[in-house]
Amino acid sequence: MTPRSPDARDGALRRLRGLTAGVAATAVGAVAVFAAVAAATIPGQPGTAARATTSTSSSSTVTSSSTDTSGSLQITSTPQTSSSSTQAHATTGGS
Amino acid sequence: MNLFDGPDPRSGAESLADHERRLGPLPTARTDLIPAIERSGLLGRGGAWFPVGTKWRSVAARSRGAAVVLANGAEGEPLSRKDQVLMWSRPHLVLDGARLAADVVGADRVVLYVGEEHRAAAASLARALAERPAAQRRGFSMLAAPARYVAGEESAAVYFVNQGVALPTATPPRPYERGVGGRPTLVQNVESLAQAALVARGGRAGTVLLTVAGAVRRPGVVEVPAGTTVREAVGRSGGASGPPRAVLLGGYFGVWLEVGEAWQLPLDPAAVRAAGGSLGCGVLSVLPAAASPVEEIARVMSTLAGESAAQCGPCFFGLRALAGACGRLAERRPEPEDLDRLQRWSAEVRGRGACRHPDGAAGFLQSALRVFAHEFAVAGAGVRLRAA
Amino acid sequence: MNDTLLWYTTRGAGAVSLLLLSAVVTLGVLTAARFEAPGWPRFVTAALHRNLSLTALVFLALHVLTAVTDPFAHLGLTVAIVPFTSWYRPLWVGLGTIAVELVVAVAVTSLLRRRLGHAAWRAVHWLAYAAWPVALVHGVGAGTDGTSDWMVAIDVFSAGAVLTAVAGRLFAPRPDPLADARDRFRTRVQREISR
Repeated sequence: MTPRSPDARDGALRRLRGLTAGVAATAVGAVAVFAAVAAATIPGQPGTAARATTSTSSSSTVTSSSTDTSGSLQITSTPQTSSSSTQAHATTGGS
Repeated sequence: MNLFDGPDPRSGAESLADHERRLGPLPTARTDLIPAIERSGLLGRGGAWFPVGTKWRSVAARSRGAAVVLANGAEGEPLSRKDQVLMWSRPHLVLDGARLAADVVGADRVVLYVGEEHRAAAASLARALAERPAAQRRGFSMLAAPARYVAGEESAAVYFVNQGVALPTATPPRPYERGVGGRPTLVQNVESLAQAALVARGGRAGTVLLTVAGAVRRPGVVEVPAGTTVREAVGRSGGASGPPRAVLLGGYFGVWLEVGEAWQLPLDPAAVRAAGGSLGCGVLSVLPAAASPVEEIARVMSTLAGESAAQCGPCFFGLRALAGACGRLAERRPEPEDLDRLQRWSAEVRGRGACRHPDGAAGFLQSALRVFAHEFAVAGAGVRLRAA
Repeated sequence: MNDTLLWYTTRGAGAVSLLLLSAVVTLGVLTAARFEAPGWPRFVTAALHRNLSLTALVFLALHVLTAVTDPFAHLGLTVAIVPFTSWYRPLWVGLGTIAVELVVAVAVTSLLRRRLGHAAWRAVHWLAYAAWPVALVHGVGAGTDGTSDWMVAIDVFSAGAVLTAVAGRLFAPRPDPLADARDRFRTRVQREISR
């Protein structure tokens, strides 16, 4: 019903302002909360590859993605090929 | 001339200027590039080890200037990291290879198909692409591959570009005949393209990228000369972190080998095939003696079953049944028939699928049953003992 | 950590934007239904609808800006303007582009309602009913968390609120106390005219 008195109208206006501010503040907090939830469920650290789904069983050492060692990836380049290119089994054709 | 020559690949990608200073500018695509690649013996690094020169020739023969190159960086195999690392640290080599392939086979479009989860690699590739002059970038586009195991399969990749869904098929026509947009399509792994770029500059493409995983001290990606033994590759990764029990070669579609038969095995596709396995996408995973093989196998089978494209019964139902039996064995609550079922069903699903997903899973399982026969027997015997 | 901060913020802001948009649509339906209650006069519904829509725009802008500037997604500003040009899940991201443009159209016409006139404003405002489901579907398909449990819960909750309000509007008895009298009068006039 349309407010019968200025007081009622002012009360409604206060409620309106309160709700607006409340929703805005909650929204800011919610972005942080949901961002944290998102980070926890699918982190996907860019330096390594995204983690494969790890099972709940203990040390699945072989078949889970064990290469994400604390965020940095080991890459080893071959030593100078002059000595080690024995090519004992060269990549000849033969699919 | 190796892929990881130059600055430490762990520090990221070089600028285009540094790349060209180190390796020279992009060679013009001459008509003798295909013979040069054939002479180098370069084999595809996407898992099939099919001769790259032959593939380029097939597409070029059908091309009429409107072919498509699909640079495959989907890398859906969870254990494999080599393509991501390569795209991240040497994007210009990949782009060189893609440009050369496009020019030589007569393609006016290049699709860089990068796994959507490989965010750093995709960003590095995109940055590198932006650095290239317009003439070299012409027709290039990037497309995120879904994070599914089958997304990197050749026909699935083409189907995804065309229809938006990554469904593989074994039926003709093959991509080199009719692929993206109905045009002859060269689907080539990004490592193969990078190696081709080295060949075009006079290199020999004599190295292989491996992802060494499992019980080693420094798991990661290594570049080794072809023919390096498993032992040497593990040594390059810091050596085994405990007494090893078995080695998985080729990832989830690969094959298990006993340490004794694997250790001195040279890592080149022909030798591995002769030993009953496949080098596949270059994954080398070491299972320690301390681990429980049956549980590991059950986990992988469950993953593979879940990754079925669900477009044919043998795969969707067959792999689920196999995964179920493996799971029960792993939990030491098997049904009496489970061990026999594993042998029978894995033989049955082979060759019966719409694509080779069930074959790969069956091959993985069958090799596991051979290498870990004792552990599986113990797991399966639990029920019989109780019933007696 | 910085690298992924933008990405996490996009996802968080996307979820919040959907919740706010759903609240706005729900309030819009309630406004049209002339909802009121003791201590809650009609103008509060309308004003809250307006205030929250402006709030929603802010968080939508945050979602879009963090998404297009994220170096790892490297989407670029064009993706936010031209639909289906994204390298990453083009169809689903494109739906997001469309939803944003619909929302902007509704918002701009609302701010300029006096200049545009009621009819034009109303015609564009109906697009809100298109924007909301498109945004929801965008979240499911394009979102990293599209099928995660928590996001699905948010989707169900938001859809529940909107659909309940719409159903109430369609099927509830008319709140207008003079509705029956008006109908009877209209019917009598029609009969008079056609005689």
